[in-house]
Amino acid sequence: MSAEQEDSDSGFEDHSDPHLQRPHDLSLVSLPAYEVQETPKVQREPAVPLIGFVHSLLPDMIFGWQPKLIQGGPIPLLFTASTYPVSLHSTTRLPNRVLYHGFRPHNSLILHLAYSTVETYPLPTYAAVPAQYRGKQAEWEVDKRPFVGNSPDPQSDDLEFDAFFEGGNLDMAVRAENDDYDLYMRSDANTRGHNQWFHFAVSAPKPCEVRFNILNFTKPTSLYSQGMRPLVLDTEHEAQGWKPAGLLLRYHTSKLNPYADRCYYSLSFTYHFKHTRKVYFAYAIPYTYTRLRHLVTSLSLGTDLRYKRDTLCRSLSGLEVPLLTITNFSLAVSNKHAIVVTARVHPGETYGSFMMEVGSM
Amino acid sequence: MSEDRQASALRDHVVFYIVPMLNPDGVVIGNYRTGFAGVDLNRQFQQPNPILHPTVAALKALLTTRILPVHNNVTAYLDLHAHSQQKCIFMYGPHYPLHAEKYAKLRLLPKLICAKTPYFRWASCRFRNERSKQKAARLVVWKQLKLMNTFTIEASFYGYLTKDRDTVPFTEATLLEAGEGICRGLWDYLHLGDLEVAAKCTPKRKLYKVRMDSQQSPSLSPVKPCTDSPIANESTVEGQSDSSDGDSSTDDLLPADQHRLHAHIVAVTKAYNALPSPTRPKPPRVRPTVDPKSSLQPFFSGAFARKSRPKTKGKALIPTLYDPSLCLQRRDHRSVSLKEQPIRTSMRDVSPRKARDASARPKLHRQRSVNIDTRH
Repeated sequence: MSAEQEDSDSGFEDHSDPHLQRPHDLSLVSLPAYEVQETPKVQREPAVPLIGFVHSLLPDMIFGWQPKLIQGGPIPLLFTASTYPVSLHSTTRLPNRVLYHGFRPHNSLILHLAYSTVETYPLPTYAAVPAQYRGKQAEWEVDKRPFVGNSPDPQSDDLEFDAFFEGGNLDMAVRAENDDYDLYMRSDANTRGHNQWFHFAVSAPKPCEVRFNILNFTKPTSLYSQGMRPLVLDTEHEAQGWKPAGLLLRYHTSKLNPYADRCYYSLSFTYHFKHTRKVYFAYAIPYTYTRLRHLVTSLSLGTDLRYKRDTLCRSLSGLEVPLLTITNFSLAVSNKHAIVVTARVHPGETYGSFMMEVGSM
Repeated sequence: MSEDRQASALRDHVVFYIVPMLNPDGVVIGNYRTGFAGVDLNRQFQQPNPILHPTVAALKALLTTRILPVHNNVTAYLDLHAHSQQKCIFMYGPHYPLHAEKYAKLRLLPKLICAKTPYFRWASCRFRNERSKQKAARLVVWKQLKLMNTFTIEASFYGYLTKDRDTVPFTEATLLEAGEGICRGLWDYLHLGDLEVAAKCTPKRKLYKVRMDSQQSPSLSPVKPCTDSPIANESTVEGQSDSSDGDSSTDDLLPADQHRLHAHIVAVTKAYNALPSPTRPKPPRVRPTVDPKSSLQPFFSGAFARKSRPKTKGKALIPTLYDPSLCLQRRDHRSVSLKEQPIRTSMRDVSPRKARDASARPKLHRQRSVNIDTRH
């Protein structure tokens, strides 16, 4: 058997021979025609200012000017930095109907006026509102949304949403095709992202099964794809506490992405409403500022000498930040070990608070 | 901390400074990560602005002005967080190179806490100085305030892994238990259990001392040990019998008394360890039962079964190492190589360094000479 036969039998071509790979005659190879274009003389336009409509203060700061921080007033809050394709879900386009617009406080005073009661927490006192705040309403304070809260003309089988409570986070709820509900989380105040925390209540007009899509998560990976489920508090069985619930769960790229300026991820799950009472949904078991205040007051109310309650400082919007000192005060302090525990630098990370609670109990 | 014994011991020896909510603004409005300044407060610790980040600035001021000057030892700084990517509870700490002294010291507290609760996972703990976290609380406190034990404790948003690698979601109760585990780990870390035992033993030791004084110089110690309590009676009776060998070199105690004290400490610690945990009962220990009919059993129970060797203490080992008879045996065993060595007739042939070595090891030198003698 010759070598050629062997090759043909095996079905392989011999590539070791360089002549077979390279074309013998280079003239056979057709080269793309090069057309040398003469660059036309461009009439240069006058330089466009890089920053339009906004005056940069950077040169002033280089020469020593410092911006003045307005103190004593409420903190302005902006939520419009990240825009969603609301036109996709405008009220005119059926079948997509906006059912709920979340609470977007213009400043911290409006926020605290909404949430502070006798039971929750005292209203922080502000110095007289600075002159900059008086007079004409700022442009970002004008709410261009047609309504806030639930839709004024709902259909009979629409769900009812609510996120108007402490720690609540739901920016928009839309009834989309196939009776799905598209939900949007409100981004963190004065930022354009960090959408992870949701906390809202839903009540159904009749027992039904509903598919929720939370469309604007910003983290590409999540524990939801490893088996985590959203936490649910059923007010009918409130004693059972927060429980993971939801079926057919999926964490995937959002359907917003063709319209949005960045990549979002969405969580889809089905929930079966068995009754018409409120059901709370949250990312993690919530731990509110009110609960902390109740804990701290309950500790300091007793005639216990083990706890000392202090106020570390006031937060940016004027809320008290408590400091607990726990030790046996009858013994000298200086020879003891000191252990510093802090929690909730990140407000969504509620599980730190639960672990802290033992230490102070 | 509840009313139990460990908690009260912790309160006696430790001052806890707890800042339970560093960012109440974000909590009220329902943010995930930031406050109202629009920045992550856990990235502002390096140079916090007192107007924009008042809580962070106040916390640093608390540490530098109120805690560090007052306390001689600030044991730990713990920052409690939650993690959105991993399971279980774990800790992040600073980095020390492998052979540094603090490499092991740093890992002690996380290891102890992980041993206390099933919700902590040692394998997930990381000790690194990430570039992205240079301005975070733990690394700033570690670097600027020079504390070693600066950790963030991260609890998963999902749950913890069991031994069978099933994931169980966290509830409020399990998280509270995990927090309790942290306290128990701290209790262990500070040796508070040992302190308790020592505190129980001190009155007895004092009693022995008084008795010793009274025996040695009765005129100088008019105060006699009270004979009402049974312990005092016992000690006096035994002390009289042991008074013949009066060796009080260590700890001012008779050897027999030392022995008794040691036995007492052992008994107390045993009883202490046998006490049930005040909150969670210890699960009954289940031994793996082997089917007697299975063919593998004789194999394992026979020659291949691992026998428990009696533990020899360090003290017992030392004499055998330097036993001259043992050395002799070894020399005899290797006598072939010794034969080839040149025979030294006098110490002059030996170089001064070798002579010094020989003087440092007199036993070996003696061996060699013995061997040479036997050959002749």
